[in-house]
Order: sequence, then structure tokens, then C-alpha cells
Amino acid sequence: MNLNFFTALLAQTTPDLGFAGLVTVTGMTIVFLVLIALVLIFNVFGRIMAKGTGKEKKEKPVKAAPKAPVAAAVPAAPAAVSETGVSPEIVAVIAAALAQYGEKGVIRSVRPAVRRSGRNPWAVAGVMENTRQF
Amino acid sequence: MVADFFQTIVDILQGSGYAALFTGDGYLNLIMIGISFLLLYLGIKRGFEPLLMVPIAFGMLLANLPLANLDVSYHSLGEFAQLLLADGANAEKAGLLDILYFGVKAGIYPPLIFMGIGAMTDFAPLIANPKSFLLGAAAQGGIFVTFIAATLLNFDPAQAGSIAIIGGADGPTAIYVTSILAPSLLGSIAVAAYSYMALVPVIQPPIMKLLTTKKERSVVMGTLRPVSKTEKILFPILVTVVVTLLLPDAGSLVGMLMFGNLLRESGVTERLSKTAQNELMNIITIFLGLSVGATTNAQNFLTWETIRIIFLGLVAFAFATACGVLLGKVMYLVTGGKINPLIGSAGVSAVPMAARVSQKVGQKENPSNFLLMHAMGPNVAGVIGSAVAAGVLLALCK
Repeated sequence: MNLNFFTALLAQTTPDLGFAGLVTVTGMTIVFLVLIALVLIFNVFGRIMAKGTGKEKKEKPVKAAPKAPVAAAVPAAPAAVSETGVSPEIVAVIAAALAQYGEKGVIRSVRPAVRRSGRNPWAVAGVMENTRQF
Repeated sequence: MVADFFQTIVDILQGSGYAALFTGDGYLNLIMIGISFLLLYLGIKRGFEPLLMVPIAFGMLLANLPLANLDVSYHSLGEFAQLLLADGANAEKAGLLDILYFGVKAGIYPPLIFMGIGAMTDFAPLIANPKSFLLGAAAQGGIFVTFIAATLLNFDPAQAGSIAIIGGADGPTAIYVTSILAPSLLGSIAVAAYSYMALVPVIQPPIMKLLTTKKERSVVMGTLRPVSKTEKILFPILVTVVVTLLLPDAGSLVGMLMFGNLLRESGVTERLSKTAQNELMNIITIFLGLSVGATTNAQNFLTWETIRIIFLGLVAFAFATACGVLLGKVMYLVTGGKINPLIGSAGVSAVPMAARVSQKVGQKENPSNFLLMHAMGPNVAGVIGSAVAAGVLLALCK
């Protein structure tokens, strides 16, 4: 009785399972094939692009140089973190972002940028956002 | 005169939805209305993917209010044509949600949502580290494990394919595949897919911790290289050509995803990109959610199948996570410990929630570790991977 039951069950499920196995093996193979193809293409692609941008790299440090003193001025500022009103969370986020971009060194202070003249940069960005498309 | 008046009132009440709820199978509608309230609660109060859960739950509510003709009453385009052409006083006519559902049945809404997703997605982490594609592929293992599990639970191949795609952790893909392969299961599968996507932060961490060691979880990954604008523009074009030529069935999903991304990256179609990711996406989300919700009439939803689907959905998510993490471990070994296996779990799509989970779990071991951008690579690769898996299932199970 039990044996009959299992034979019946097997007869019922085996063909389906065979198809399921086929779908699984074919499916995973195709998914991997497609994505491996993309890995290869974009690996080659990345190398070609790196060669293309190699020439520009030489110019970049020169441009970046004048900015360095400005950056240096920030740590020189005497204001402590708590006095500038910048919360420790914001400092942590800025530190994390700098670390992510590979900046070395120690952040000694963070203070809000002082607007010297002209319009609020947020307002300018807002105007740009709304008018650029026309 | 007075008798006539009362008779009219009684007639109106007997012909109303209230009476219908308490006669015949009406109690089933009452249960469905209860379930829709529960889903509304989960969406509104608990924040379960509210942008889709609220429209789906409301669609479910509308569909189960008797006599309002707000349920979706067809499963094929032929039946839809008959409804549209229905004539005569007693013939059932196409209702509002029947007409909105056409966009699902004809495969219009999911690719348009993919276009919006493409316009919102930055593929730079993937371009910078193409190996992430492999993690996006591995996580699709959950789909195929679930296919076998569903077959064991006596679902036919078309139904098994639709259920398995829940493991892609991608709502539009699941709806697209199911609307073609097994439309009668659409409501249950959509509800399961979106519920589990909301539960990603609960489902994934235990599996990730179980499969990795403390040392592996603490790996700090190097900085990603900067990606040029040209690369970002060429990426969607190349992916479309490579994937669609190899797997035409995935064409409409991948093609629209990449078109949306090209609108974003080209820099000259900003207005179109904004429309794709905001207004159009929102309109389509409303149509999609409401009409998918309206397919859940009691006869389709209150079945053992739904319970099995909800169980299989969990299997799909768990195995997808495990497969991603396991390939992450292989890559950890091959690269000599440069890759943190936790980013593998982000390969299940569910952008960007799954990537955030990788970040959180990694940061628990090492508070100064920032895995988010590294996890975004497999995460967006998972979207492409599940679209490819959808193409495979459509090709094999149609």
C-alpha cells in the first residue's frame, strides 16, 4: 500500500522535477553567461577609458594645486566643532565622505562656509534648476 | 401608499452591496475587505513599501465591494476584448479597473516603471567594479531554488516560474512575469513580493551573519575608481544590445531600464529623465497598484495556493540572500580577502534597501566601514540579473 503510494507520487512528480531541474540549470547558466559577458565587456571598457583619460590626469594636479591653501586654511581656523554649531553627526558624515574619496589626513575643524557676497548659493541652484530646461 | 414606500426601501436594501455581503459567498468578500484593511495598516502605519502597498490594498478593497464592478474579471486579452464589446442590458461590461488592468496584462506598466527606475539609478558603482555583476547573478539562485520548491509543492511550471520570480526581489519584474505566465496568481504574488521587500532588513541580517565569520564581515574595501561621463553614457547602450540580443524575452524590461538610465546620463534630456522618474513613474505606480490589487477577488486569493506562495516567497528571499553571500565568500577567498562577502546579499535587487542592509551589518562589526557604495554595485546588477532571469523563465515556461 505504502509502496504503491510512493510509486504513484514519484510517477506524478518525477517528470515535473526533471523539468524543474532543467529550468534551474539552464536558468542559472544563462544568467551567469549574460552577466559574465557584461563583466568582460566592462572590464575591457574600463581599461580603454582609463587609457583615454590618462593624458588628462597630468594636468589635474596643477589645477588642484591653488586649491590646497584654501583647504589648509580650514584646519588652521581656531573655532572648535561645537562652537560653530556643526553637529557631531554632520562632522562624522563629512569625515566618512572624505575617507571614501581617499583623502588622507586629520580633520581638525568643520565650520559652515561664510558667504562673502552675492546671492545665496541654494537660491542660485534653485533658479538654475527651474530655468535650465527652457 | 405606505406599503409601496416600505417595499421600495426594502428592494433598494436587498439590491445593495450590504445585502450581497451577507448572502451566498458574500462572507468571502468580507474576509477580503478585512485583509485589505490589514494591508492598508501595514502600508500606512508600518511603512511596508507604502507607495505600492497602499494602492494595492485599496484596489483589493474596491474589488471586494460587491456589485460595484470594480474587480478585474479577466485573465486574457481575448476576455478583455469580449468585455469591451459587451452589449445588452445584462451583459457584464468592462469596469474602471478592468480598463486600467489592460496596462498590466499587455505588459505596459512594468517596463515603464523600469524606465523610471533606470532614470533614478546611478550605475557608476557597477561600472567601477564590473565584478559586482557576478554577485547580482548569484543572488538569482534564490529564484531557481524556489522554482524547484514550487514544483515540489505541485505548482505547474508556469505557476512555479511566477512564484520563483519573487526571489528577484523586484516588484515590476514579478508582476510582468506573472501577468504573462499565471495571471490568476497575480494578486497573491504581488502582495508576497512587496511584503517581503519591506521585510528585507529583517530577513537578510540573520542569514548574512550565519554564513560569514566576524573577520569576513570586518573587511574594509578600497575606494572605487571615478567613472567618466562617457562610460556612464555608453553603459546603458551596451547593456541593452548585449542582453537583448542574447535574451529577447528580457528585452522590454532591460531595454526600458537602460533607456531610462540613458535619459539620466546623457545630460541633454533632463526634462525627460525627470518625467520618467517622477510624474510618469507615479502615474504608472497608481495604475499598477490599484489594478493589481483589484485582481484579488476572494476566489483567487482565499486559497491554500496563497499560503503556499507566501511560504515560497520567504524561501526565495532567504536563498537569494544566501546565494549572494556565498559567492561573496568565494570572491573573498579568490581576491585574498579584498572583498567583503556582505555586499553579496545586496545582489537580490530591492534597491536600495538591500545595499543599506549590507552597510548596516558591516558597520556593526567595524563602525568605520562604509560598504554602501560597494554594495550598490551588486544591488543594481541584481536588477539587471532578475530581468535576465525573468527572460529565461518566460522563454522556458511560456
